Amino acid sequence: MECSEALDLLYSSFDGQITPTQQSLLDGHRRTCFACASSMIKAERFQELIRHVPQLTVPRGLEQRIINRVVHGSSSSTPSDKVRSITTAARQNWRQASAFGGVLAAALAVGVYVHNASLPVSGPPLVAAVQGALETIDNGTSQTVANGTMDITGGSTVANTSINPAVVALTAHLNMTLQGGSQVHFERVATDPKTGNVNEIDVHVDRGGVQVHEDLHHEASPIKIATDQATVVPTGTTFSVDQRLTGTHVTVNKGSVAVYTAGRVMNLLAGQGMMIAANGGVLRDKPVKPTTTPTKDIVTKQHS
Amino acid sequence: MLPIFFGVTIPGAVRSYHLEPVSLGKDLALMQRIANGDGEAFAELVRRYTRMLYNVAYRYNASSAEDLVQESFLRAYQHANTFSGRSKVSSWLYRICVNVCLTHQGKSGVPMADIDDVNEAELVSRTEDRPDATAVRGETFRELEDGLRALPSQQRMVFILRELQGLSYGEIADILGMNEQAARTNLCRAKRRLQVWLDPLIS
Repeated sequence: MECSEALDLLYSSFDGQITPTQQSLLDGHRRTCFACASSMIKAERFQELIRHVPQLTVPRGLEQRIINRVVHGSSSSTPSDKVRSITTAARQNWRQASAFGGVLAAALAVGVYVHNASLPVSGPPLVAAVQGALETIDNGTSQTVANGTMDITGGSTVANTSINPAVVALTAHLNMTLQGGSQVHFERVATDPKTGNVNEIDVHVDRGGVQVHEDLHHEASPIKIATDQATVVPTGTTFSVDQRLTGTHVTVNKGSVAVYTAGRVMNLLAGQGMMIAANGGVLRDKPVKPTTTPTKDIVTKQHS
Repeated sequence: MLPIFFGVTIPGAVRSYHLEPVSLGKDLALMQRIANGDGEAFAELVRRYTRMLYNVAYRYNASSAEDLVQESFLRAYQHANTFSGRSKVSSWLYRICVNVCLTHQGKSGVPMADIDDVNEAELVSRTEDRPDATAVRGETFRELEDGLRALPSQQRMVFILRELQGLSYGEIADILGMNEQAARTNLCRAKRRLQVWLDPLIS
């Protein structure tokens, strides 16, 4: 049994959803795997901790404020006119961007496959342009797309099976390069069905490395890149995230990123890098000269 | 593919596709009174369910929690006539609140440090040596909330509904418009990341 499988079984056991056979396998693994036993003790402490998270009390006066706002402020036939919707306000901040669909030049010798898992889809798919060859796999059936566009939804898995990098243009501002042998999972993709604007892309790096190129622009970036150790949130930038056996390596070429990791948030600027080890320890890279971003060049080539 | 929420298309929102148990008669009656403009009935709904929604909204986005709850109740009031009784009122309200939260783009509010301002010795120190390791439980809960807000939204919401609100996987699947296995997978991923986030405090 793999250690990660054992940990999943342990989580299932917390729910009481584990068979006697699975419990036996779990117990056996625990007795023989020292590293895993340590992780399991932490998992049990974590579970114990979250069992004791208290229910919050309602702020004083909130109930009455809701009643006043909704009932007493909504005598007209269109109460929504009187109350500014926060979601509408949020939508006003969405970036002006659209996934571009032209055939890409400058093809790289790549092999990428997409697998659409049975996770929920939030809005229409993101139409992304890919440099190189694409293979989409849906329900066990694969389809090859060469230098064209692919649909990405929450639940899509994209892997680069070649040794050469592949570029995926997620929006007009945002490209992601998958290094050879890497694989990412799109955990959530939210798009505006009317405009095609993208307001959220949550990516988990399953293995290998990705490089994100983002043009500086006024709107907030929609993308988050997560690994097992950290979540990286760009602020208009070009950066790389590598998921290695020993941990996660993050470097920034342009702009800055916020790195959320065990118990802290770090701001990385251009030229800076850091390694987040599997045990949570963090090591700063020696400063390097920021490289020129290829973002605009890539976009130009793709449209030419 | 896009969810239609009370007849209004909401980008990023989710749609339930399961039918739920029939609502209790008194809940249905309460919703019918609200649909007829009964302010007292709405006040009762608010008093009964504000804490439930506030806990979800606060764990999802503390800085906007009150706004999220108010928006949820506003939508419930505006669309009370669409409540069919096929689900519990609580599930219906959860679904509204989840959609409001998922479509809200807020800032995490997590304080950020520049890496150059952090002492090198601290950066490379073992996790149990960090000051965080001596944190009291209240601080641990705050760290948990910070860690929650660093999660992808779907994982964050599954964790909140399952671990903090105690909903079944079936209810979560229905509220979030996913199958139960997807809910379990999201929960596992959320727990793995949160465990890493809190490692200095649970080692």
